[in-house]
Amino acid sequence: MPARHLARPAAPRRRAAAAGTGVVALLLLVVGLALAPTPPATAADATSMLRLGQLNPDQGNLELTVSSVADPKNTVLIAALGYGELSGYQAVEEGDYVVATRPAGSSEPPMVAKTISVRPGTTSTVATVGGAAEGGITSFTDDLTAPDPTKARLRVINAAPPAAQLDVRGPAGEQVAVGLALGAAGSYTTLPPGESRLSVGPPGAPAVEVPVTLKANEVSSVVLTSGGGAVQARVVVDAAGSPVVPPGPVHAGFGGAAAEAGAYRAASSAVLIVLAVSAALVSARLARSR
Amino acid sequence: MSTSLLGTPPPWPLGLVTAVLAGVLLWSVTARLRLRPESRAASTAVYACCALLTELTTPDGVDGRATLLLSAGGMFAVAGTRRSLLAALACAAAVALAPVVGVGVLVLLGAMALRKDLLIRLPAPLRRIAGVAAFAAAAALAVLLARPQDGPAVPLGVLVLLGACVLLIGGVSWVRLPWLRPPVAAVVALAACQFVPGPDLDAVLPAAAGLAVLAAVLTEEHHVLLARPVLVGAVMVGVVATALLVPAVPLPAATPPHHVAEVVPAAAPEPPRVTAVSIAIPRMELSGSLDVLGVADDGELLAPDDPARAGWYAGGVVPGDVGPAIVGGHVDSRRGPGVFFALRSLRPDDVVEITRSDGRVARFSVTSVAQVAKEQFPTAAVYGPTPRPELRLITCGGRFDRGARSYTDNVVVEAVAT
Repeated sequence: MPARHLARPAAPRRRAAAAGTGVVALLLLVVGLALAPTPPATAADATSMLRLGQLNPDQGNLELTVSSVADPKNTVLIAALGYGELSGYQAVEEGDYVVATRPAGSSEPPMVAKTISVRPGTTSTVATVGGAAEGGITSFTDDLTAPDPTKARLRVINAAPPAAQLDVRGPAGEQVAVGLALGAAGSYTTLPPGESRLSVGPPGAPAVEVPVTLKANEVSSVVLTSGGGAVQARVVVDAAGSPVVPPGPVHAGFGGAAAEAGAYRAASSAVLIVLAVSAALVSARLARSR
Repeated sequence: MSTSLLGTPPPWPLGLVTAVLAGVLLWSVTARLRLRPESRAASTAVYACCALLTELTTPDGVDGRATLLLSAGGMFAVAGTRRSLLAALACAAAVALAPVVGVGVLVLLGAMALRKDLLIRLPAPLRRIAGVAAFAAAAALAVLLARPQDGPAVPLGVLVLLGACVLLIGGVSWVRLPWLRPPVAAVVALAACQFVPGPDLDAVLPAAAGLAVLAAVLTEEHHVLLARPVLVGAVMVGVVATALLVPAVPLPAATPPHHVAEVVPAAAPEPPRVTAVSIAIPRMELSGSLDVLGVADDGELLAPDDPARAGWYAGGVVPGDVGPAIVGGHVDSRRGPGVFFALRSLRPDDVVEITRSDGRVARFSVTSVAQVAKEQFPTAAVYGPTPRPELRLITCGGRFDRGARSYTDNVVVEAVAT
């Protein structure tokens, strides 16, 4: 340290150098410790998501259950749904599951309808449908890829008999689904958000217009049902994002508790010690020289 | 410094340069006072220590502009009576830069009037009234500048140092050196402003400079204080000890806890939509009402005005509905920790509860805590669609960039509904 030099100019240089190196090393250690970042905690993201649907017009309200094949008592998902309804998503572990149904409110044991296999990181909808599906149950793979934040992304699920196939067009004539079979889900497409109308009708036949409300930055399934001789559309949210996405980061700090305060303190203490001791020595020398 | 009449504070390198220049000017002032070199060295050391402490322990750093002007005023004042107009102009400019300096100047004028150094042609009763009026104006200005919601203006260590010096110098000089009383009173008033919550850091350096010069003058008069190596050493040890004791994280400003029950608004007839009302994070011992956050003109999400409160982004998703609801809060204020200071300490499975205006409580479980550079802010992951009700808690983290007055990183906590 300079103070030591001033105090004892005759001290061996080697000792001073060693002491200096030690002080520098100590300072670096203190600064390093103060600056060392803490590793952020993260969780693995391979969650599988599952939801249930009742899309069979011939059934009323149903109770659907999903249980593990390995452990039948372990029911991971249970939902009472009316015609045209989809449940919310539930995270499930990968594995094989049994889907069973019974009329809602009944006490009879659920009837095993289908065995499904859930792979990691997938999102799917398991629904009762009319028609020829195994056990009256089918499984759709849901694609929750985010749209352009200013657009709405949707697909159509056809649960509206009697037509075997339906064509669906957007408000500006966009092809939303072509020849979509009963009990099937179409592929995803992008439409502008807001109050909108879809044209729905069997191929080659006159179409009817059904109103839908689409939201920006949202992925949805439009479930077509038939009731009272008319086609209706129910928009079910698959995944919702912020309708308005602010660009860039958030500035939420004024620095009053900045992380580097520790490092600054170490440096400032060192500077102050050197300054104070030299000022004292200079002052003393000047006083003595008088 | 935000109370300056001349706009925003300077960038910190300029503040530091003006503080150093003010120190040089102080050295010249002590030279014009014909003080001895050792006293001048000691006084400059005292000033430099105060400046360094302020520079290193506050986010904005020192602002030496007002001190520079006051030192110039001091130069003119000690140069001769003809320059008193220039001295007054310099002081006025300093007050315009940092209104809190006006407290010290008013006290100085009042004390001079009472001591017959000012308004000498006025009859005694009138002069006394003028002096008392100046004191009253100083007190009114201090009250006007106080912002009780903020904590003390400077770190505890600097306060202790200034307070000790004020007591020492004021106490020693008051009885033995009557002519030193006006400046002592002014510096005491200025230093006392540090104890009043609110009026920023502007008064630190002027007070430190005044103390330094007074200390040097006092040394000349008494030959017992500061001129002796042992005493100088003792003062320096005190300074160093204070520096080591300065808390790395200043104590949080005393803010009343926000009680949920009191802030839930009475059910309005047909509210347009559900809003988020309050937040509770047991791990952080946090429970308080939520402000409503909007966006700036350029679309960026604005943080809450009050560093002690978190806010919900109303242009986004309602907590508990499908999608990512956004809640932001400050990591700190200029004085100490903010509402989300401990956000980075959250761990997976920690619980966050948001109470909605419809009475529902949305319960979330933390899934990840990440620190991300602001240049690479994960907009898609934060605002993008999710299949379940989720929550994003956002605050600042990383290094504080003093030049930009902003942190380099964001801390983003993701949570899903349970």
